[in-house]
Amino acid sequence: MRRFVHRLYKRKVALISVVALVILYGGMLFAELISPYEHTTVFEDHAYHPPNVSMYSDELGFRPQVQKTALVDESNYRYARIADSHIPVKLFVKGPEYKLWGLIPMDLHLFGTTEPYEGTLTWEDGGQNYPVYLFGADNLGRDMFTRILYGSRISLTIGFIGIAISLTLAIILGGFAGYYGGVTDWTIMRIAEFFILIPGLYMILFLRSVLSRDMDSGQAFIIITIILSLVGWPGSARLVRGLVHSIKREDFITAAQLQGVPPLVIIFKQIVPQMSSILIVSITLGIPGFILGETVLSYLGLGIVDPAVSWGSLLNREVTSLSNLTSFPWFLYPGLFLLVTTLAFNFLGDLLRDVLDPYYREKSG
Amino acid sequence: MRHLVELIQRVGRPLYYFKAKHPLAHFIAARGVSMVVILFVLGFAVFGLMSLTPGDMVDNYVRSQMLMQSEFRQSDNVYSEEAIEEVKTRLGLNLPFYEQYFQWLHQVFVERDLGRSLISRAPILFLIRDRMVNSLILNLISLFFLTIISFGLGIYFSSKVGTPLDIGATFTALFLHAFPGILLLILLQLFAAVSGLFPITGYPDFPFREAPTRFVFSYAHHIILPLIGAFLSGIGGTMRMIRATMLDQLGRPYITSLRSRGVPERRVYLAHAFRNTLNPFITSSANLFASLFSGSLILEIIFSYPGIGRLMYEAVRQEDINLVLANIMFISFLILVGMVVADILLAMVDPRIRYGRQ
Amino acid sequence: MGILDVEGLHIDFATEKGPLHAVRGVDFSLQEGEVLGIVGESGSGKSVTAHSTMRLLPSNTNYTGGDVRYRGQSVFALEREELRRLRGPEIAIIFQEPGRSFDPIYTIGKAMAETIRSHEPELSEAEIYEKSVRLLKETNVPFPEDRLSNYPHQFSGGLLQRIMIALALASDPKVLIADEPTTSLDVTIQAGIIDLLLRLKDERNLSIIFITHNLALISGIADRIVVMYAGLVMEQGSAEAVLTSPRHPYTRALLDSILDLGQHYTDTPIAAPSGTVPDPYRPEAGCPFAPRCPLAAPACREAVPPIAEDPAPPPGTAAARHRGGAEAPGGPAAGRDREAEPPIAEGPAAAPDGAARRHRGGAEAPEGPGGPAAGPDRGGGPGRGAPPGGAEHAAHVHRCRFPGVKE
Repeated sequence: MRRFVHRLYKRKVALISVVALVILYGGMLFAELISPYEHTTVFEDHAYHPPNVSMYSDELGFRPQVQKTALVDESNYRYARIADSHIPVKLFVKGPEYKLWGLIPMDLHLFGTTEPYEGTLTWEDGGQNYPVYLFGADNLGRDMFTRILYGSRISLTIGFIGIAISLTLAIILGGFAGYYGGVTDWTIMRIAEFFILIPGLYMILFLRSVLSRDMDSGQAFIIITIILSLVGWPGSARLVRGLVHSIKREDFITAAQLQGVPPLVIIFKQIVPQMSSILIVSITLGIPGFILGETVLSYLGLGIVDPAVSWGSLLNREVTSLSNLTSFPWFLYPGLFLLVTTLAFNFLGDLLRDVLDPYYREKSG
Repeated sequence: MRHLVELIQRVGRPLYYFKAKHPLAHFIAARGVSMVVILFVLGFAVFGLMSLTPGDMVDNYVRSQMLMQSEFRQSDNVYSEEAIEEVKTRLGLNLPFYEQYFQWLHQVFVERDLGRSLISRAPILFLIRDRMVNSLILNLISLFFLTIISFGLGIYFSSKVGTPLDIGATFTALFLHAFPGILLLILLQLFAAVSGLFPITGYPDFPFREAPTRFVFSYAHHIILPLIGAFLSGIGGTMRMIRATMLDQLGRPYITSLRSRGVPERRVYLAHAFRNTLNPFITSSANLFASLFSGSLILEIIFSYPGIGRLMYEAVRQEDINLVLANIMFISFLILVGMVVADILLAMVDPRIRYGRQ
Repeated sequence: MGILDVEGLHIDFATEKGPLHAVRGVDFSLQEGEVLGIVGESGSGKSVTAHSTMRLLPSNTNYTGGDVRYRGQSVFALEREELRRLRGPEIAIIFQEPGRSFDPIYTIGKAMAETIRSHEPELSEAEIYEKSVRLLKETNVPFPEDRLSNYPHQFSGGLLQRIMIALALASDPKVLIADEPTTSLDVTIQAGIIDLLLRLKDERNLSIIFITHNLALISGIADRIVVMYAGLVMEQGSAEAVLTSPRHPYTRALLDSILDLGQHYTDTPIAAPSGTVPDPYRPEAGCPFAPRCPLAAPACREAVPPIAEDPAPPPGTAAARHRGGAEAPGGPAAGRDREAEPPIAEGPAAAPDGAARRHRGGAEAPEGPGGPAAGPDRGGGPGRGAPPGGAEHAAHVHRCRFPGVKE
């Protein structure tokens, strides 16, 4: 552990990665608090609104502020800024009500404006405040920043859940294969080969087409996770099998066998701890695959769909069509978050592999 | 039991002779046989999976059949449960899945007919063949460039190990490897649209027969961006793997042994370390090929390239069960062929596999 | 000056944890036509020293001091092409693990052809084939014509080692370095390989550096012995002098740890030096063996004792007396004609623990008369003939003179 921290300080990219991941996951945990609205909050007449936060104006001087706009071209969604209509952005303002972590009822948001949007009613009186678009608005006038934060709740967790399922499968099946050898080994490895044989995305699409189609967002999340895990396990199973195969010859395993400890217990209690470091590496490097798998499915419109939101669904190909991207480039922000996340996991995993996996280090000199 | 053993031995004897006489031919034959078996079992699994899952897909299929085909059509377009059941039985959809599978096999191999697409009504064989060729061309081109360039870079950087250049290259490779492929493709298409230098689609808008020469140039122009996308997302992992394997080989005692005898450094790198790097690369090239196909699915969709990936996507979206089935079987077949070719190449390169360990 | 001189050699490896000091000042010289044994534990720097004479070490190696001279020419100053022409025609090496020292995808014939062609590009295919067969015959590989088309994995370890010797000889080297050539082989095959090496030495007038951790093995074949420990030469001298009258406690500890032939079990602990090898990342200022040395003086821990040369051996000196001891009953003569046989067999019937205790006993009573005991124990006898320079017998010892050695 100390060695890991030492290396982390030496390798700046990995350090930055850790910081980025902490920020992203912190943002995910406090998504409701940090985001000024809810992911379903619609501001009418503000579809495709560009980012509107600035730091300076003659009217208000140096401070975060928002300038009001008016829709001037309804077919192309062009907005005109209204002169001398700056509204200050304030910290900890009242907004839509929510329950933090599903438990604590709150209506406080990290930032927002205090002036009413249309008419005279603010949030407290059942109306809306004037929107702050840090990253711009989507096709329904929903705040992109809010949606990215809410979307991270799916995109950032699917990796962990997916890898947990696929690794459990891999440890059980790969463990049995390596532990028993012979026919068990042969059968399990042939099954694994089938999954490796078919290109991942084709397999995902096939499974997606046989599994039911009309689902709510919770079901969709579960089904997608299961599909991705089914496609992901064989690679790890091969790794586990090889490791178990070499560890099972050790004396302490023989001792456990002679005591009559059941194989599954031996695999999980005796063998898995032995290969924990390699598993940690393969978890870190495996997570981005799940995140990207979800993104691809949602991009194709086969994954998470409205009203649920994930980074993939924000990048859905109907939303990020070429014409949309050229006129509203902030539609790519979810992609930026995706990029930072996958890069961070990969850089971190690379460092972990250097620190933890002696075999790999020997190989790469 | 004893008779069985004897029988196997008697049948096996000429095989053993064959193996001893022509190790490579035997190897290829054995891989071919195993490929057929794997494909058969795979089809079995696919059909089993489809029957296991809850039935919207079959129901949709039956409904569409009833709407499309005159023999089932009723005047009022209202169908009772009984009528649906009856049509299912007539279409053989109530049979156990393995009987459906054998029917399908019969249809494919005896009647040479994959059925028709439920949506476009076009014969599936016709649909798949063209798309398959397009995808194959695309992926073989990218496999070719990927192999050549990543080998060049991998070997070059393995000779520069530890220098700032090498560290930079390794970092870049990791960066490219970690870059989400889908984002890269979207950005490339955006680049094409903004700069206007490249078409935003991946395929010429006129058929090959119309003007073959012009088609080739137009194809090259259209395909260049998608290829760069496939190349960039593949090069990182491949180059890292080749560099690591080269370094692994260069650290082995046999390399020191060669150097100690004054074998020129060029030969040490190219004739020995490199030749030995080919081996694990070929093993993983089938996987690389499969992952290229996986990547090209997104590529084909984003750049509207008429390949098998887009066909698969459309089939899934339109719940075209016949087409999905045929697609998945064909793509598996293709990857399997790739794997067998890789195995054979490996046996040609590495005597230990050809002869077995003695 | 010999054919190959190592002068004050220092070698570091750059590692993540900082420089690893593998060799920290090694001097020795290989004379033409002799067999020089380098003995030491794992990690003592013996292989690193040997590899450095051909600059075969990996790229993270720093030669921080000293020089290696082949016939007076510094090896470190050679250009790449000159270095290539040194490797093979001048110095050749055979390695510890023959199984891993061959490129698995080349037949033996191709490997031989490649090596021959590297230095004699003018030879035709037929001449190369002829030479390959001749070399394999010379190294006693059976059916050379047939086996040229075989791959390395089709050979046994012993045969591969013979082929490696043939490869090493392909360009007619003057110096052959044998880096633990028999460590990974069966004992019976070891003897054959060593016989072969000694025969080739006589036939081809080779000078051989023989590296081993097996003192028993080297005592039968070496003319002179260099004892290394933690990157330093502890002691060097004629084989006889080193084996019969070790002047460094480390050498003595090594000698004590040799078991008698056929012995598989004793109730008493083997008299191996206690403790472990010092950390090569942070070598102490003093003698590296001091922490494990029963005779260490405070001065030993502060600085490496200077090399102490034996005085010339006129009658009555330590060496002479040792030889006298060897003639005592129970110390049979070891002759050059018995070289392949492990000299452990030459030991007296005395139980090894007895020997060990006698040494320790002697050590506890300096200046005591029990000293020559070392002679009968190890019995490098008079049959060996005069050592090539008893005056060369030198060791890094401070004041820890062994009993019986006059100051």
